[in-house]
Amino acid sequence: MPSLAFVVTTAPTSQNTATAINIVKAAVQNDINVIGVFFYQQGVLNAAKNLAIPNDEYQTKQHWLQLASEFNIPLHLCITAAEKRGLTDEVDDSIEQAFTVSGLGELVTLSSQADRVIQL
Amino acid sequence: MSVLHLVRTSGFSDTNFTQCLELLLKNDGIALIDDGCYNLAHPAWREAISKISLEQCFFIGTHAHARAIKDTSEATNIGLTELNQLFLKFDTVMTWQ
Amino acid sequence: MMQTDQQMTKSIAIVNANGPLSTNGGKDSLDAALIYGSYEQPVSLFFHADGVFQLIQGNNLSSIEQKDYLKTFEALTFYDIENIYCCGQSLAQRGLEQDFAIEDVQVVNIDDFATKLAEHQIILRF
Repeated sequence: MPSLAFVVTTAPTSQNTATAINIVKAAVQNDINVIGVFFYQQGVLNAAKNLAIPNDEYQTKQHWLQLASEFNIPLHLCITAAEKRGLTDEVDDSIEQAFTVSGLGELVTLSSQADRVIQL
Repeated sequence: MSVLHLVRTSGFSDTNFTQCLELLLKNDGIALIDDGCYNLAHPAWREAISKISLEQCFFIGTHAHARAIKDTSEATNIGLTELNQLFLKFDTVMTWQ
Repeated sequence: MMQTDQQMTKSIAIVNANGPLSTNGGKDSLDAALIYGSYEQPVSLFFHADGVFQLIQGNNLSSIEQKDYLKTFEALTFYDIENIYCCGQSLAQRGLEQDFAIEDVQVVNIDDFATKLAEHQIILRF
């Protein structure tokens, strides 16, 4: 089975993040093994526990959580980038559980294992 | 090696698209996604078609239609399933955003 | 040096397309390049468009209280990052001389730049 890894660098408020979610979903639904999504730069904000998106708008985080639970896709967070933006897994945990706290080393692992790495 | 260029922004507002054309090689492909779909109407789109074959030029139909961009014969309308297949068909993917 | 789970290596190209103070991309991409380097993955750096501003002599980020991450470029050789390509056309468009803050920058014409870039298995652009 071919494999892909994704790097997501856009914030949850960006329409491009919805595109990333739909691309990842289309991949797993078409027998592509998505070995992980790595959140970097503004992308780490997707993991914020306290995101409050109005009900009538696109629920970015819910879609990530659904992807993770339905298809077992690992969501990795660059913790350095996250902490810079006020997210922490220590006191007052502000990171959604579905996201694994990682570092850039995880990006290296994904890069070495996936057939292609797609930056979004 | 062939590169699939994933263009996500409009050439009318930044230079990602024209920078992409500078690095486009004859075996490459272009997929216009998100605001990149606006490049179908950009004067430099012709240059893209002349550098690579028309068969290697794609846009995401749903993204274009959401932006009131009309169908065109100057690129192939694809969905996200086909986009994923392109990721695997080309040797590398380069994103312009 | 660290090793990844599977001992596979991929060639990685990191492309810089913005000035040193335009975005955080320059620093973020350098962080990524150094990590790839420390895991012994072959990394090449490419400077295109406004990215060439990162390489030239005379940047002074600390004068406006920004971290001078460009100094870290001097450490690239310790991470075995030796392929540093600068687009000659981007330099010319901006009226810049080949006067760089670091050694070992290879200025290549746009066709060679594109060809060398396409030889890599992973391309990340910042």
